[in-house]
Amino acid sequence: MSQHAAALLSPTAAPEEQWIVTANALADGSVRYLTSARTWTGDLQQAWFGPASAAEAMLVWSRAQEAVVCDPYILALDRVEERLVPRSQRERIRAEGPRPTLRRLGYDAGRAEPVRHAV
Amino acid sequence: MTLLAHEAGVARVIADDPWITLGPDETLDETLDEASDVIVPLEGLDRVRPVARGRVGLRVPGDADADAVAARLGGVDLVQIELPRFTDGRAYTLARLLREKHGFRGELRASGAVLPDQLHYLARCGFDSFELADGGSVEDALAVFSDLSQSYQPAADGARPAWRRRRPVS
Amino acid sequence: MYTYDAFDQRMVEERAAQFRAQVVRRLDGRLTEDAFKPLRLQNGLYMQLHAYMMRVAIPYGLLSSDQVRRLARIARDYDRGYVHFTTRQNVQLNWPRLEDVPAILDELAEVQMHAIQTSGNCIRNITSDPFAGAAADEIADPRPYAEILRQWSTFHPEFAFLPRKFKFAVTGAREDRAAIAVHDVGIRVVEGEGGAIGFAFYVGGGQGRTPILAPCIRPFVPERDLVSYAEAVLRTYNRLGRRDNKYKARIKILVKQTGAEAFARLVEEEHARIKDGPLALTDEDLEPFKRAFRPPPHAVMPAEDPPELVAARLAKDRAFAHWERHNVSPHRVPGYANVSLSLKSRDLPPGDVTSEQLDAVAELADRYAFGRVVVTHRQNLVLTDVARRDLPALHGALAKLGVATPNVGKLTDVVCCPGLDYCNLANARSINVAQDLLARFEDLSALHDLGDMHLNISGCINACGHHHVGHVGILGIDKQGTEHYQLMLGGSSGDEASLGRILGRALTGDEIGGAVERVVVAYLQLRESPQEPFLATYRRLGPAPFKEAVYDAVGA
Ligand code: SF4
Repeated sequence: MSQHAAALLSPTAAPEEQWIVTANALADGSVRYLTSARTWTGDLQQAWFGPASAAEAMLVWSRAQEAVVCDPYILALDRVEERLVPRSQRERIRAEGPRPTLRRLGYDAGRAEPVRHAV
Repeated sequence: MTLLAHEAGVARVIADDPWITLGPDETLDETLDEASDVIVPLEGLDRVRPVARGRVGLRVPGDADADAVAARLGGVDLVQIELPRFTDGRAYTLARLLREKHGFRGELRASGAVLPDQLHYLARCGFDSFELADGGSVEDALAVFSDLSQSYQPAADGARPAWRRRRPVS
Repeated sequence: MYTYDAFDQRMVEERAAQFRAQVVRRLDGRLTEDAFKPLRLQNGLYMQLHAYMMRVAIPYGLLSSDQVRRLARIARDYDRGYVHFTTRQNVQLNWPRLEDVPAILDELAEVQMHAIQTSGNCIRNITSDPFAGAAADEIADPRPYAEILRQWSTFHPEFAFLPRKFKFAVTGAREDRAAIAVHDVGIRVVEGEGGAIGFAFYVGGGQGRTPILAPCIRPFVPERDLVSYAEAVLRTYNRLGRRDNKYKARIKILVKQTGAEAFARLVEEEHARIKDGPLALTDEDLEPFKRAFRPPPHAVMPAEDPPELVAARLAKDRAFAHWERHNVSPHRVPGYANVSLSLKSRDLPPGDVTSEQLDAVAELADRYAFGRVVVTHRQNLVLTDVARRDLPALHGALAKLGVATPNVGKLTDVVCCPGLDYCNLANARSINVAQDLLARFEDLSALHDLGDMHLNISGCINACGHHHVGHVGILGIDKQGTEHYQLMLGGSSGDEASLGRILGRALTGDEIGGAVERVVVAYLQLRESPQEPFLATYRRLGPAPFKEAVYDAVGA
């Protein structure tokens, strides 16, 4: 059972709505989340979150970060037992990377690094 | 707004544009010398042309019909075509039709959403001059104008098709 | 194969240099993302879910072995060691870094490749029959014409900002393997009186939200008028195509709303004006293009099969025999064959190939196929011009590479777009559905009994997986935030092209695999004989029995 589903069954942990700011990095297009220190991270769990109005303000700031990220937007998700849980499949996949990890040796679409940048 | 023009594959800035632009309701009066060169929208053409002693230019939107514009070109020395958005490519066809179908020989000027990286294509379609949209860098426009030095297909610039200029080796 | 001369080479080098400068301007802040976006799109660079994606053009799907090796190297040096071949015979890199893109373009330019016009509302890569030049049923090789259209459309100054993207397909064969009915313009080589070559123009077909089969607006355009007629079509579209609504902006809507005959009249009027201008093709214009694609130096072979081939067929494990039956197609020259390499296995997503595989394929192409590799719109590769006596050896090598699955044109030859694992526009994943189906139908002997059955999956309505023309089509949709799949039957992109019809309510990710299985089982029960392919059974009986089979099990 997924963490999300488990939380829904538990009476103590009603998911609370939170908003975040996300974008793609200019350099390599990787998924970025805004942190409370106003830096960008690839780890959703490190993301700043807050109410929609605060997220709007963070978005205004983020739009001026054209040298670092492209097309930032705000997003509603659920906070369940201290974890930020995306609501859509799209955002789940953005947070976790592509799923196909197929059986061919050495092929893992989500994790492998380009040879040139792996060092 | 900066005005650019091109000649022999090179773009340059035009500092002393003789043309004055009139709005739809404006007409020539004491403030505007009747001998000025004026660009008027289609609605103003009949009002201004009889009194103008300078040259008359016509301003049309990029989605204007070429045949309709061509019917009004008597005594017109310049056609200014306004691009509503840089992604709206109708102005390119309009320019080519005015040149190649209707034989317009006066100045063709692009205005509106005109960005540096478009000037080369506009020029090939028959435009002589360009009002660069605000925000577009003049240096970039001048620099990128000649990025591509040759072309495959004929257009309003009379280029010969590449396949006739040279033969592919096999 | 057409080889660049100094002129072509200069075009791609200048373009690479131009984009390098644009990247610099973006990185140092002189260009905003809004201003840069259309420029990067014009160089085939998209922003996807996790990374940039770069689409490289493969004109009419034809690659030299050196180009294949270069793709392998680029994927290794700048990406994650694999590439993805698309349904438009192009190739995509999934993980390029922005700062590396100029270097990638330089590497491509060195082997006469580029990413020009692989995106944006312009004339896109021109596709063709994968067996072009080698098919047994060909009237004339379509590639000289596709190449001249490629040149005409490259950096066409008037058509860089069309209402919407624009796709050409050209075929020279009697059987349509280029899906010309579902392109903006489909061109079919035809023979006129006295054997003169001409072209039938099918205009206004397409898939996406509003799938339409293109009407033929002119059955015979003389050879000399190929380019001028194409220009007249494009000019008419650029003037009149809708720009108020992105979903109504393709030429198919214009043709439909104007009426095919009225649209044809507008084109004829413009064509009459320009046909004797500089675009009129002379024999001297065409000759070098035709010469570039003359056949490779085939040897004279005996008509009967060589003994090693006969022996391989009789081998105990039947692997060769199955492969030969499904993945080898007739060639126009006796003693030769066209060999399809299946990129559909449980090892990789459909259409994906690793750098190691690409290098090996390039070697095999050099050894057995005059150094040529073709990408197909079903996301496989083809080696044309293979001597039949080499088939057993080639089969062994391909099997080792994992690209000899005997399933070409069969149910597990799944055509599948990247879907929600990669694509920014997707509603649902498609690769996992493909893998589920590959696993279900892996039982090869069952597969062989199924005959031709095309399965196509798209992750959204944009239909990159061509689901409308799959015999079985699957479309990913989003229903209240969860992935669902519409199942459609009866589509075809072949000679009697048709569009699939939705069978019933959308199915969940858990249901879709079983539903396809039940369609297959129903077909096996309903077909008149093992010779009746799925499409024929469906056309004979209609959707009702299949609908029953699927929805009685899962609920309507
Ligand atoms: S069909 Fe949709 S999901 Fe699939 S590649 Fe095309 S746009 Fe993306």
